[in-house]
Amino acid sequence: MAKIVIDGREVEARTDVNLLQACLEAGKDLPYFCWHPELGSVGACRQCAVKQYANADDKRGRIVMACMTPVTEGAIFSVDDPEAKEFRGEVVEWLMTNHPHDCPVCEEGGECHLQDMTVMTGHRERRYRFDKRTHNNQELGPFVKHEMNRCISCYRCVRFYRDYAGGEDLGVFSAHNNVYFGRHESGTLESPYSGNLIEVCPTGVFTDKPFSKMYSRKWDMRGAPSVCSNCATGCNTIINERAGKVRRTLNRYNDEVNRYFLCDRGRFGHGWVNAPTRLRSAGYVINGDMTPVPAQAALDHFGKIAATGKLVGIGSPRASLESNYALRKLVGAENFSTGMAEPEHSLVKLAVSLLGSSPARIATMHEMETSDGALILGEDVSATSPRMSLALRQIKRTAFNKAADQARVPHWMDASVRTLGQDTVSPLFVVSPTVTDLDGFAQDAIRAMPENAARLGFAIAHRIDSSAPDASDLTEAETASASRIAEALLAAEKPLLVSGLQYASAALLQATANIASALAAKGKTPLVSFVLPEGNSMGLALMGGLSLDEIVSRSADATLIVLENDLSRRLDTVRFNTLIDNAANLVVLDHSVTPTAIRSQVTFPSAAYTETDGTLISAEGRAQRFFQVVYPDAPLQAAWRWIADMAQAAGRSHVKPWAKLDDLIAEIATIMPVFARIPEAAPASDYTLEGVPLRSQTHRVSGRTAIRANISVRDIPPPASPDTPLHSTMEGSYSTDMPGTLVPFYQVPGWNSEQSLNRFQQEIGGKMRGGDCGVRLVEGVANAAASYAMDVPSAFVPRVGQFMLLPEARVFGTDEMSMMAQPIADRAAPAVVRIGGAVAKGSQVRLSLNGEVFTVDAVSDPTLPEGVATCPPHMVSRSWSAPGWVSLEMTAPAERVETESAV
Amino acid sequence: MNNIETFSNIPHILANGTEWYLGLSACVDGGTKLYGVSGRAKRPGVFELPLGTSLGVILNECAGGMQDGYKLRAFLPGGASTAFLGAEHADIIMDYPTPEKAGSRLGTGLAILLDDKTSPIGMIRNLEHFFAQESCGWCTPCRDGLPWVERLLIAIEEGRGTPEDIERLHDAARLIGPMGRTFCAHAPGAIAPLASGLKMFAEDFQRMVSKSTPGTVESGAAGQAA
Ligand code: SF4
Ligand code: SF4
Ligand code: SF4
Ligand code: FES
Repeated sequence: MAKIVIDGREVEARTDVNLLQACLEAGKDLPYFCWHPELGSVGACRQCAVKQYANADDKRGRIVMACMTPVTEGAIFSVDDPEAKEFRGEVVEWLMTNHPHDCPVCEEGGECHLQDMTVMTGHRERRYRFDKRTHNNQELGPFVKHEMNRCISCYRCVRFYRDYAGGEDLGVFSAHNNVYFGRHESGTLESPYSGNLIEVCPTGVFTDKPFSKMYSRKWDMRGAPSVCSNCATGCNTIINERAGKVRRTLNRYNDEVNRYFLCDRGRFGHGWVNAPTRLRSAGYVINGDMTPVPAQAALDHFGKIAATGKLVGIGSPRASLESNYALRKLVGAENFSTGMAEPEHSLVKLAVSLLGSSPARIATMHEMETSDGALILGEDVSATSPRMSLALRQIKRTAFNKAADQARVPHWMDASVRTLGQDTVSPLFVVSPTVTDLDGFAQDAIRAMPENAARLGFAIAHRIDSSAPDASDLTEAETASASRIAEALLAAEKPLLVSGLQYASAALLQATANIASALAAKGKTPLVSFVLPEGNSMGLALMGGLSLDEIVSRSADATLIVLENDLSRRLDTVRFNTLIDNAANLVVLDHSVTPTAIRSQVTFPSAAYTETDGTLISAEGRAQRFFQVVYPDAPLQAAWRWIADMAQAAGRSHVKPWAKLDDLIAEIATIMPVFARIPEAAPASDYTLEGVPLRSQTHRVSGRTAIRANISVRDIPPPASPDTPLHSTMEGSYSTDMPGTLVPFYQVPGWNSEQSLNRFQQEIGGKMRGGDCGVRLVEGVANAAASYAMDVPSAFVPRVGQFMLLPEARVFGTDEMSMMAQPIADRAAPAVVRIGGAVAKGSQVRLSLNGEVFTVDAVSDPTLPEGVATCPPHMVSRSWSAPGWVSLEMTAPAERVETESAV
Repeated sequence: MNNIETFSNIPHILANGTEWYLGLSACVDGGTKLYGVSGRAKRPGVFELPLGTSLGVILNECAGGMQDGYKLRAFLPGGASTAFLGAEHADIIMDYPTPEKAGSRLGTGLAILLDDKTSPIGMIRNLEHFFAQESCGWCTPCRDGLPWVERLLIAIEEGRGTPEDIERLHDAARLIGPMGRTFCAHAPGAIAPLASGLKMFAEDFQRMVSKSTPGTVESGAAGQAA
């Protein structure tokens, strides 16, 4: 810390930040554009000008850019100096010379950083009286709109898209006041992080395209803190709603998790909550058609069929912990399934037990960014956990920063750091059977089949600690790689190991755990992370239960209750049919119509994650709460409420209704010790800030009664729920000190855009003032004695006449719920089978997956070895997702048929 | 080192030694300089002369003096990004300190002449067009400030300027000129002829706006109505 003087006031400032940050942290309103808390400074916009004085006697001073000025002990500055103020006002006036001032029709309006900064500088009257230049806009695909005339050339978009996220198809073209930010031609933005442009761009150039179709001003929407459930990473989000419809998803800052950015699956994957595929009433299914029935009738019917006899409950890794627990309680632990089939069921359990017993700590994504020696072993993280992949990309920055340290350049001095770092090698190693997006950043990208990747992992562990088992018969290249990677991990201060379940290989997880143990045995404190399949996979593994396979053999004549789970994605058609046909009854609780729901007898419509509250446990072992933003009309309600109602109807009196979510959470925490800390994941529903409950709308929200005036002009009481601490209206408290888990939107006086986040943080880029988000339930065991898995798999051997078919994970296409959102479905490329070896253009293959035959377009992939092919899980056969040997029957281009698709 | 003129000296200095090089000069800074003259001189061109040669020698002996019928009114001693000096400095010593003392810079050493029959406003407009167009587009004062300056100059030159336009030009000079306001020295360079020209040719500017037709706007749709 250093003492500096800002406008005559002495303040303590951090010395590793620039003066702009110091001013903002000191509570000053200093406008800026090109600086971004996560992207650093480049000094382009010249908006953050302040006066710097050489010493106390210097009365004239000189103008400097705060974002380019380091904080040094005793430095004297003025933000309010008239000359600095005049300059800042003039910068906005210059920016405005070509700006269209179309705020009334601009979708940034009301949350526009340019509006805020313009007001802040006091620029009010336009003196520029000449023509404005105009640009052509581009069509950028289903996610992002482009309105280039509003551009103020702050360069943030390209710095995020290219420098931070590694995208290549967005750039800056031309020169002088004609600089153009876009693609070389219209076309879908390729980066899976493109949606962040919407928040990174301080103007209305890049806006949210799906949101645009049901646009509303920020101030007119309700917000609620939520957690993304489109993968297991658990990014924190804010969901916006108006008039009962979910409008959009925004990033919610969690310093340890997603920080400033989301992936596009998370940002644009919510649309299914408004889709026609939603279940909105209880129903009977007769001959595959769902007939709506009153909820009470459905409950009565359930009461009849379930009053006696065995109940079997199938939970779900995409449902909340609370709903899963309620079902488990209703049916009894011995009749409860995690909802996962083999091999996923066992692998998730294995992953969780390895994490819980390892001497390594589970890495947060923020920790991953600064690892100085990382190994990704047998997982295409860029597709299975896109946000984690973005964090891993920042590892190259660790190398840049080392070079910068040598040149005594501060880390926030972005352009210089990048220049200094351009020849550095990033301490990242990728071992994967297929090419991954991270390869380009890696020091070494090694192609290896899952078995061989695992063997390499074992070999690395052995080279770190010789008491770990080695893999036998390694090739020379493998031996060299193993030694090189072992050395790099041993040399690292923050070694990081990442693997996952994509290739359904226990050996990969065990090899990773062996490396972690070996590093710990050598006195290192390794970080580890396993990518899990779904939003609550971790929660279900901790809760425990039978696998679906076990259920298939045990549930004959039972009443099956399926919670928010489409079993057709998990069981092949034969077993799916067997399970349903053998059961006495099938009852489905879900928010969407699925192939499982249409086989049920009775269906109950459960509330989606935007309409209810609950807890998910991310792959990091972090319990996080999502809160409802929509107050759904009856009969929609949380699945756990349905389960309580069903228990009542069936006279199963051991399940008493819970009055509110907190009661249920408290019960789980008491009954199941692993979940003892879940009440800490977020404040309870009786939370108040200075004695007043929180609000979820802005003070400016308009049309509270007018919006339904065509129906009735009566003032109806606002909706309420006993489960959420957020009031549904604009009445209530709101402050920068509110818990990070409960922030419904970011806004402070003068700062209406998401940039107001600065004020909610203890220090910029640091912790939230109102405290952490979520609570970690799984920690390794520091100082655990090294215990090594000894089963080293044998090397992959190709088979004559058969192909090893590997699952090709995709950001868009292989995830269940997000594919029910139109923008994601539009973005998903059609399924193809990639084949190692020559394939004539336009060929198709016939392949048998789980006993069914499919015809799929085939392409040659020269990066795959002969005898290996890939196929996206769930996109061809609904249930296929794990590697296996297949026969591929090629058909020539001339014999093409319409391809089949499961989605 | 990225300047060809400097670079081309190196082999000669290596071959002949520093003494020799220093001895070539007419002032304390050693060596020769590529001087140049453009504008209405009889023989515009580039001339290698001892550093510290006077402009009188460069203009009259090397470039043949002013063309017939034209008188020197002012000049930019060292290229487009140096400030105007009046004709009274026509014999100025072209070393480093002397032009600075007079309020300009030696710059490139390539003098640009303004004669008595050419509009100084047109000349400045032409210079600012160059600077606005050559802006790389990185920082705001240069990227967006200079095109505004250019348009103000066009308006004044074409008889559509207002007294406020002159104020705006002074604002731009004051706000963009000092070092540190922009990312690089391009924009301060652009302001050097503007700031000095506004002072030196104040009457020309006043005259142009006083006889301008108020109310007319730029070609195109935007203009004052917007
Ligand atoms: S970008 Fe901002 S200032 Fe510009 S038109 Fe849109 S809302 Fe208005
Ligand atoms: S498009 Fe947006 S982010 Fe990119 S330079 Fe323009 S204003 Fe900045
Ligand atoms: S001053 Fe330099 S950096 Fe800034 S826009 Fe002009 S040429 Fe580019
Ligand atoms: S924020 Fe400092 S120059 Fe842009």
